[in-house]
Amino acid sequence: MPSSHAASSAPAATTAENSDGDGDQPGRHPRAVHLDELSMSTTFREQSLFLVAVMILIASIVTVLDPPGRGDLVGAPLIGDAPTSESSDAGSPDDQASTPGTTGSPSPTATSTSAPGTENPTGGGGSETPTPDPTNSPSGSPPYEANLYSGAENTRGITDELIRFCGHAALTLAAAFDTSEADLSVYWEELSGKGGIYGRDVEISWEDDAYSADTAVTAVTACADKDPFMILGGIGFDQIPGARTWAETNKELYLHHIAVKADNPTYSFTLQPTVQQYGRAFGEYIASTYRGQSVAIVYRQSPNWAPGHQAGAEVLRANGINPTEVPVQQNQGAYTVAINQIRDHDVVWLWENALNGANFIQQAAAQGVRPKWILPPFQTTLDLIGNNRSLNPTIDGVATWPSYVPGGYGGAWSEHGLQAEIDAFEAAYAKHRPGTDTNDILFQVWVGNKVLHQLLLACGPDCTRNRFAGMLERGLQLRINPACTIDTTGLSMNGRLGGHEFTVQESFATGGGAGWKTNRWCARSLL
Amino acid sequence: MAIALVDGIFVGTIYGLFAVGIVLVHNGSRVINFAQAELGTLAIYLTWTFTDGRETPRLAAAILAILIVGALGLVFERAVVNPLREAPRITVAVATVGFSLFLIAIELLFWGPSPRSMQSPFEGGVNVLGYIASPLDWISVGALVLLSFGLGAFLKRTDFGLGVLASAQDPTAARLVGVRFADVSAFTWVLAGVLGAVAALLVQARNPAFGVGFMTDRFFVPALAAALVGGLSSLRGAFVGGIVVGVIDLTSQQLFATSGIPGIQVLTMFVLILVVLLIRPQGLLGTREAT
Repeated sequence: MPSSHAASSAPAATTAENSDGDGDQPGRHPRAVHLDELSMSTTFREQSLFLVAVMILIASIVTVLDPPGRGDLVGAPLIGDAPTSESSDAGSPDDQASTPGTTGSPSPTATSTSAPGTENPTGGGGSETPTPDPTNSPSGSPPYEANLYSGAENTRGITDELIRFCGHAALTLAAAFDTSEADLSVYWEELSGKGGIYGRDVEISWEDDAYSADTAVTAVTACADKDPFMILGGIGFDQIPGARTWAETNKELYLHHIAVKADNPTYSFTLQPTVQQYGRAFGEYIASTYRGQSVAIVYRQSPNWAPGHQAGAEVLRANGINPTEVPVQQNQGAYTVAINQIRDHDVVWLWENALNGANFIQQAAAQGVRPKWILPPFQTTLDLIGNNRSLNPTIDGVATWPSYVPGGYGGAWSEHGLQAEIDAFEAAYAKHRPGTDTNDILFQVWVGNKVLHQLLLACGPDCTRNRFAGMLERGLQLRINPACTIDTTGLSMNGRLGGHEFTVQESFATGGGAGWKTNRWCARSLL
Repeated sequence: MAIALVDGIFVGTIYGLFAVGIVLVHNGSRVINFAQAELGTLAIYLTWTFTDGRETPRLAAAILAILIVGALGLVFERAVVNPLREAPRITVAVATVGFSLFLIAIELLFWGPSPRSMQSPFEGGVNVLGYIASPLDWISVGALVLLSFGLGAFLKRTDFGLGVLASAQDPTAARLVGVRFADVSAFTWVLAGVLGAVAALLVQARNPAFGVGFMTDRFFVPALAAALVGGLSSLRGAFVGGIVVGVIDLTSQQLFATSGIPGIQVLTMFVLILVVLLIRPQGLLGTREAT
């Protein structure tokens, strides 16, 4: 019998019995297993070091999968706030299809005669440095064109029948609330049935950037392969800088969402403020609204987030408020230490993504810490933390977009066309996507598409890539309800920065739950 | 600092629960299970599915989710680990990475990438040196103590348990003395799935909002650190390692809060692992393998 043989030949103490490492005496068993004579191949140290290497590998994989922000919904609107057109209060594609003249025409203002500010535009890839022409009058002269492309490249992605765009975004947004990528295109489907843009349909496809900087570059590359008129960059402080660098290197026209300020961009444009401006807005709002109260900032320790928090903290200090600054790491599971640091503060600015922010608020509440929270306003955040913590006390939000709740606000902000736009939005989805639950993300995408629509109209029937870029580069001021003004006349970032206004929102009870409402509309300064 | 110490112990119990699963699989299959934490994420999603908009009691839903995840561990063992029993261990380790990615894909497919929320069933707690410990914190401690000591006793004092330990050291020799490797392997993987699910459900209460890959993102690295620190051959080591890692994690947050170093938490984990491996590679309570 194998066990008897083993028992008779082995020493008393067995490796197996002592393998729990506590030195206990072996138990009595009819068949003891004696393993001392067995040979081992690889040392434990080598195996463990190898495991560390594999662990680093899996950590890298996890970073790709979970991004700097899964659920990172900072900056929901697709391409930025739309300026208000004086005659576009109806808010639906019906009014925009065939009469471009009804929109606010791009008008290089007197500021276009000024020097390009402190930033000197630099040419990219050998092309001449584009500079605004102060002598180019808006009336009776050829429209200004940027000097970015020549020949066929200038009309890439636009034909008499079609304008093609491709965007990268975390398709998590598209998949939110059981919607799909196709749901992002409802605006263009609605427009297509009404004549399009100078007879052209608009086609937008999407590549998933999975909320990852690396995947964003892959997504942008995939977009470029489709020869679009322009690449659109949506959502995510962390994705856009990498994608933007790629676009600049590869001379791809790129219109992106909120990101850290770029140095001398040539091919990249944004109709949103920079991360620095966004953070400054938070600082201004807190300084003006909560003066005299103790303030803490809980911020994601990341190079793509930090400039925002730093800008906001500077504003607070300039206004006599010395905030307690508490860093947290991406995907930190336990926030106890950070919560303890903010325990005695009245107001806390939470500079984190929706998912991590929600858990922070929940953990803080479990520890009895319930300050006034200030954060980027997303419906997802309210849904994750529940009605009680959304409303007791209410939460403030600073954004570059208007709020949305299904059904609207009973006419509030009608002067900015909010209710009309919500009605048009919901009608379009009921028509093209019956059964889809409309939400704040889809509404911001709708508004963003409306902005793009207006810009294409302003570009004219002979729009080209140089003309589109030139329109912004030379200085454009445009208001399209219900979004904030586009203004590139300040020529920041070589005329490629068009967002400077912010809304203030607050959580409120609605429809049995909590939602956001806009309290302050499109202000350049929240002081 | 007291709060960091106290919560470090409570957080450490979660790390320890995950680490016990890692150690168990290592003992049974001689491989690190890189899907250990993601099994827990799946359990959370299943529990959410059974309770969201339904009258299902949370405990019943959790038990059902734990059983399903345990069964999934068995399926993986039968389908992948067992056929690879003669393959190099690195092959199986890579397979567990693939298993983790597979679980993430399942979560995306069935629940989508939008974050979900499941509120804690308990409110309030006991103040311990400034930290409010919820009932689930105490349950985590109790579960870890029971599991580590109970499982240790089972492994040392039963034939099957000794077979599990023997298989960890040398599957061939263990088979020669009559230990059925297939049974041992199946047992360890089922139990690992159960432990991962239990740990995730306990910690989810402090993180009500969750998403795809949630547990892997936040708990796998600390759990693996706990297993390595405690010793991959020691279940009690996993318990001790979990507490050590939890305390170091929270206290490092306290000490380096203003350092401005991104990723200081993960950096601390890696430094700890390297120090342990260099000074005492078998871990605090593990034993050196015979050569």
